[in-house]
Amino acid sequence: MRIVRVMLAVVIAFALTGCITLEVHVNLLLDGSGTYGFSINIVSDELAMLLAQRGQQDINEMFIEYMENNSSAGEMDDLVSDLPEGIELIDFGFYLTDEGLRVNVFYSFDSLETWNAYAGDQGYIQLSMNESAPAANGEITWSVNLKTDSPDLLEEMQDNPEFNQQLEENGGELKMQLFMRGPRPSPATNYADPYENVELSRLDDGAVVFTGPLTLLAKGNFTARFVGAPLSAEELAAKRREMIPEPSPQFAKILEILKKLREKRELQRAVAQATVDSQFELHVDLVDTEKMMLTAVRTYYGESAQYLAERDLLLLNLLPDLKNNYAIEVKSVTGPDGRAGVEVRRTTRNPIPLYSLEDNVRLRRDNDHWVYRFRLVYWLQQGNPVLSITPEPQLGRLIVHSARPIVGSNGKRLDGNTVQLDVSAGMLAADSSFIVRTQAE
Amino acid sequence: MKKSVQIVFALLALFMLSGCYEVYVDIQFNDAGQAYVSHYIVVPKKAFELQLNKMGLEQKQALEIMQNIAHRDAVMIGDMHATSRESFFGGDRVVLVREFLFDNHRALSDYLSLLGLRATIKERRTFFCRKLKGYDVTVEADALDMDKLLHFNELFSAPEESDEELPSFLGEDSKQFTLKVFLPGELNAVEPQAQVDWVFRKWSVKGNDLAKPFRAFISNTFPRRDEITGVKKSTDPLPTLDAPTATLTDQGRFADLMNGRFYPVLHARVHGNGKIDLNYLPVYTDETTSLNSFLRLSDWMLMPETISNYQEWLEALEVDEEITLGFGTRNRKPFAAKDVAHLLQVAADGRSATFYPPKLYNDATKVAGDPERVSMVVLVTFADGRTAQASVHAKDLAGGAPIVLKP
Repeated sequence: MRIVRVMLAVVIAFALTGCITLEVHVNLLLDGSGTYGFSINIVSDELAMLLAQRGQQDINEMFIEYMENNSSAGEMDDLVSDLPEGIELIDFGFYLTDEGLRVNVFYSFDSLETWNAYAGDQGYIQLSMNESAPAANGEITWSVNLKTDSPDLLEEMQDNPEFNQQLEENGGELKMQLFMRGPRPSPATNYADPYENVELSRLDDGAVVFTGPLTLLAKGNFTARFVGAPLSAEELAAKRREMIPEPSPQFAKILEILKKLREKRELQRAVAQATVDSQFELHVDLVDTEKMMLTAVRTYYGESAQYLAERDLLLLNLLPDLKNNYAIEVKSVTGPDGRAGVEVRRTTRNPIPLYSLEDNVRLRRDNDHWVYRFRLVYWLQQGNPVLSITPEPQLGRLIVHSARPIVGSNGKRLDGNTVQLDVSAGMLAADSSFIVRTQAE
Repeated sequence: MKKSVQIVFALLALFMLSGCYEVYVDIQFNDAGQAYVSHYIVVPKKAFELQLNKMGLEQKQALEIMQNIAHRDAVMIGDMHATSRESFFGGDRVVLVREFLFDNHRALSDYLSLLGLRATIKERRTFFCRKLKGYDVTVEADALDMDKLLHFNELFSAPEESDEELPSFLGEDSKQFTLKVFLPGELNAVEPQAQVDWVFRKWSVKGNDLAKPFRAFISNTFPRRDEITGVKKSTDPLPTLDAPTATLTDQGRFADLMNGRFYPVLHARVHGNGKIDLNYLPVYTDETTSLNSFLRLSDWMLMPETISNYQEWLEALEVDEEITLGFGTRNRKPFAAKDVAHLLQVAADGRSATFYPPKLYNDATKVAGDPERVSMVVLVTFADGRTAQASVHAKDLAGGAPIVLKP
């Protein structure tokens, strides 16, 4: 139960001496591709000591265990699900640092357009880059701009009790650092535009760093410049490789978990669709009061058609009574929507007793009438994914034909002796009945 | 940034205590005298983790202990089988699951007694032919003891040196016990009034009411059932699936997804007199259970033999070293060996059997998905109690060679 101990310790450590710094990292190439990421650094002597005792391996296990246990809850999946084409998550994890703990979330993108569309949707920072005309020495200046304008963000953060606690512990101010890297290093001077409350610096590798209050996440404007010769195709490729490292072992495991999660969701969707695509039709021909001929048809459409038809035929083959008493036909069909399907049709060779349907049928005499009640009881369990599909799907129909005239029914009348009930998913999630009233004599 | 900041804060604020803990005992009876029981403990996730911390247990260890308790109970009680069904973890709650199959009512009563519940299950039979008419089921207790209902003292108890009786984070008002019972057929009486929850009747007790006497009574009458009689000898082979597949597209992905997650087990039990019982038992997972349940229940109407000539049947099956539950059907009357000879033949010495895979395809390349996928498993229990099992692959359904099963 490492996760409990460590995370509990994290919270306690925060309350004592810890502080949080948010780092935003932007790395752009001249074709507009690049990476965007943020790190949350939790710095605390107590935490560092505690985590150092545990080691990175333990942190990895803790994080992965948490991911495994929570991935189905959806909160983690928000980070990676439905990523548009051209955007990939390249790192996500908890890492031990000398001072404490670091949480990384990094994306790569193939163009600024792709990134900005995604960033706009997700509340991330949008980016732009201008390229100057070549100077006399052939050098180009790339101006990279980040503008934040999200007035509701700060309000939202301040509503968070953990955030508030942090704010209090840090004297009402939390820091953010913005690291920007461009196609070439930034120049030694005039590498960025000054901005109110922001401290500027330049790192040895030519990265530009903006340091300021966290409120700049909600409203800020940052411009950095990078200068140099245009990149050759080889240089561009090399920079791209450098920019997107191989996944860390921890992140590789997370990707595995997410792959399993996606497969699970795909499976759930496929199962729901297969239920909708397995249309049934049951013809009950009442040849006498307690005798009937049955024609049971299942028509399978879509990607599950053959697999479920195979199940049907397997069942018919494995249980001798099912096979011997019926004429069975398998054929290709085309559904009303044009999709191909497989129809498995079974027709009784001889009349069978009404009460072979056991609890699914009730019969009573009501003066001059026989009242049949065909029950469709809870074929779909609460929580069945089919029940969340809108519009509510039709899953089949029941058709009752009687040699005697039908005088009443809750289904629709096809002729004087035949009625039909269209069966929806909602009906199958309850105790539903098809009531057919015939003349007694 | 917005969403990510929220996620990170959510990560860092995992362990707030809230909510209550609940014990559910769901019992489903069938007319074969079997019972299927799910015993759930639902705990707030944060509370569960704190309790693990307090007891010095890892999560995996705790789940193993719980499963060990289940298997220990099964051995002790007999005629009781524990499955390997996994517990699950939601956003804020942990659902600890133990799942059992009881071969008879004695075993079920013994298990319920471990939970502090007295169960009386009476079978009502017709006077002359002693045919089973229904059950009268009473579950009662002088007071509900949550300690016993949890039946997981290794986790839900305080260390020995402590004076605490139960986890300190749980107050009296936060405990709840729910009993759910399903009896097939017509219900005659339900006392006291119970809520309807899907096919179940449900009684819930919480807080101070747990100390009061508990009694639930439910009684049913099995519905009238007429056997379907017809052609006794096996008819022509069934049509194959080759023709339709020519017009279908994209059949592989679904088959790949279902591979290992939804397939039938045919369990043939050979009697001493040579007759054979056939149990058809679909194996499914949490993800495929909704499809299995829909097909199984609709089969009762579309293929009425599955309830008139067969009966609902449960078996604990060991597949891929996991014990899973097969929820299916079993013939009411055993078959003469000659009536199933097209499917299974037992050697004269009773020491081996040969299974003939049904021919569903003319061409093995036409099967959906991987021809090597397991399309079914055949399991034979010989008259001397020994068993043998074999997987039947999709390609075998295209006129594959007979499969010899030897214990």
